[in-house]
Formats: sequence, C-alpha cells, structure tokens
Amino acid sequence: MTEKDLLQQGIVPGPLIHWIEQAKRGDIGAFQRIYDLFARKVLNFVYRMIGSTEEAEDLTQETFVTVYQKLASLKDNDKFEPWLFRIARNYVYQRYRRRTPSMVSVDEENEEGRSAAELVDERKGPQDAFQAEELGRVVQGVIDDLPDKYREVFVLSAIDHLSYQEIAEIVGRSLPSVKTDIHRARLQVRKRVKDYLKD
Amino acid sequence: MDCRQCSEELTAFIDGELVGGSAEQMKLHLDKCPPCRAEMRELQNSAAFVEMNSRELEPIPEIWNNLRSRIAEMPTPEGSHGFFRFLVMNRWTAAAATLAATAVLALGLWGYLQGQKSSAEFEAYMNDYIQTRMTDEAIHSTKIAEAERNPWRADLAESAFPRNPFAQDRPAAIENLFQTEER
Repeated sequence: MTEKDLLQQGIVPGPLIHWIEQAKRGDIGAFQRIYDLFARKVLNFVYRMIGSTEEAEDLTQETFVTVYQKLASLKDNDKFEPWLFRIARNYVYQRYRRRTPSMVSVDEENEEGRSAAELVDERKGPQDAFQAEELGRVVQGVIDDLPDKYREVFVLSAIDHLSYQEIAEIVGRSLPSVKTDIHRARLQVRKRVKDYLKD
Repeated sequence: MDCRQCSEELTAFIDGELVGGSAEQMKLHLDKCPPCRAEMRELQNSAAFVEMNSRELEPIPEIWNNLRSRIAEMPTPEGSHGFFRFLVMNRWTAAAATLAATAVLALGLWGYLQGQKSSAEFEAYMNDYIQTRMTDEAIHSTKIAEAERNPWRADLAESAFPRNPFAQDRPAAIENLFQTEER
C-alpha cells in the first residue's frame, strides 16, 4: 500500500513525518516527496474552489512555496495536511478578492483546449471521454453554484475525504458548524444532481 | 431516534463521523424506516456521482520545476538554521528585543546629540580662550619690549609682569645679622 493510499484512508504514513523533519532542515529531496504526495490533492482542491486550471496550478505552486518557507513553524507534524489545506485555502480567498465569481468559468479553459492539464478520463474512448467531460462540467457547475462556505466543506469532505475535525481546523470554524454546513451542502448537491441519478 | 433527528445526522453517519451510541441508534432507526433508508441512498448516490464525475487534474511537471527553481534560490527554510536555531525567537521575545533595541538606540542618539552640543560649546570656549590669550600675549610682548628698552623704569617692569604667579612680594631685605653696628 502506497503513501497515497494511506492518505486516502485518512492515515498519516510513517515516512511523511520523517520527510517533514528532513524538509524542515532544508532537504529539497524530502520536500519533493511531500509535494508528490499532496500536489494532486491541493491542485484539485483549488481547482474545485475556483474552477480554473491555470489559476489552480498557479496557486498550487504558491501554496508549496509557502509550505517550504514556513514548514519549520509547524509544531505538530501530524497536523500537516490540515495546515497545508489551510494555506491553499488562504490563497484561494486572496485570489477571490481580486476576481468576481462571474469571471471564473469552467468553460473558458475547455475552449482554450489546454493540453497541459491532463484529465484522467482522457484515456477512455472518444465518446466516453466526451461524456465524462460533460458530466465533469455538470459536477463542477454544481460545486461552483454552492455558496463559498458550503463549497469548501463539501469538497473537503465528499471529495478529499478529510475528517470533520480536520475540516474544522482548515476553515477555522467549530465542529458543529462544519457538520451542519456539510449536511446542507450535501442536500443542495443532491437536489441538483437528482435528475442525473434517475438515468 | 425519530426521522427528523435521523435526517439531520444522516450525512455525518454516511461520512463515518458518528460513533458509539449515536451510530447504533442510527442503524436501528434505518433498519425500521424505509423513507430514511431511501434518503440515505440518495445522499450516498449523489455524493458518489459527484466524486466519480468530478474532473481530476494531474499536476503538470512545470509546477514542480518552477517550484524547484524558486526554492533553490531561497536561502534556507525559516527556522532551520542548524546551530543558530536557538536564536530564533518567539513573537514576544522578538517584540521585547525590538523594544530594548529601540530604547538603546534612542539613548545612544540622545547621548550623541548631547555630546555634539558639548563639543560645540567646548570648541566655542576654546576659540574664545585662544583669542583672549593671543590678545593678552600681544599686549604682554609689547610691554616686555618696552620694559626691556627702559630697564630703569620700575613701573614698566611691573606692568610687563602683572600676573606673574611666581612673582611674590619680596620681603624686605633682612638686616645683615653679621654686620656690626656702626659705631
């Protein structure tokens, strides 16, 4: 079982603590291992929050630069993941302040046909890939339409599978408040995708 | 547990966030309540639909490459200064150190300005003193020259050395004790 599998199950892999300690001393090799483990999660979290591939890549890079700079200030290595997501979230909200939600379009990057952003489903046949693309667009639209405070807790719980406690630490709210928002977000999502589930 | 309570806790139950007694109560209620079971299935399916169809981006190599270049230019991560790590202060220590440094700097500046003022005063005093001494010296030289030209004039000699600290009133000549009385 790889470190990524362990993370997916909410388990902090043992080597991660070692890599964090090494990276705190400026070991770039250890830092790269941490990056390999979390880059995809951060990239997709940011992407789901803002809906733009280019900005998600940019903010992912900024997030990891900050992680490298500030890693020594992380006292509890077990809290690395919530700490990492909190940094990414801060960048998302900083960027949001400069950009109105209407300017963020999922379609805009599809029209650009960016080859750099490789979609996992592109390995399927053309028709499946087209359908996956359509459904992906629908899902991102559903996520985009959620209010900010619902969107982030929904993404972190339903897609990134973080615990409610970790999510509360990331968004800086109480556990009951997070629990309520996750439930309300799920109800909204269910209402929006209900028609697709009948098919 | 009733249906309203079940509905409120359903998402947390699906996410595995209910433990112990709460989870058991939920299971018991769901076993005997088809509408709540249906609601749970809908919530599970909708979450699964979103997760399955959510576009998943792969990090492109350029992100790491750019990141690598940027961090290579950085000195070292904050707080990882090896032997000198003990010098890293917490924010209160840093604030106190800043305050102390400011106070020392202010004190030094005040002392410097005071010193500047004293120097200026001292310099003015010395200039004045030198000027006075030069004038006195010129007058004195004139008087000495005149006294030397007229050695017979006691008033000029007295005037030439008016403030001679070594000049003491000469006591009156002591009478020669060995001189015999004139007869």
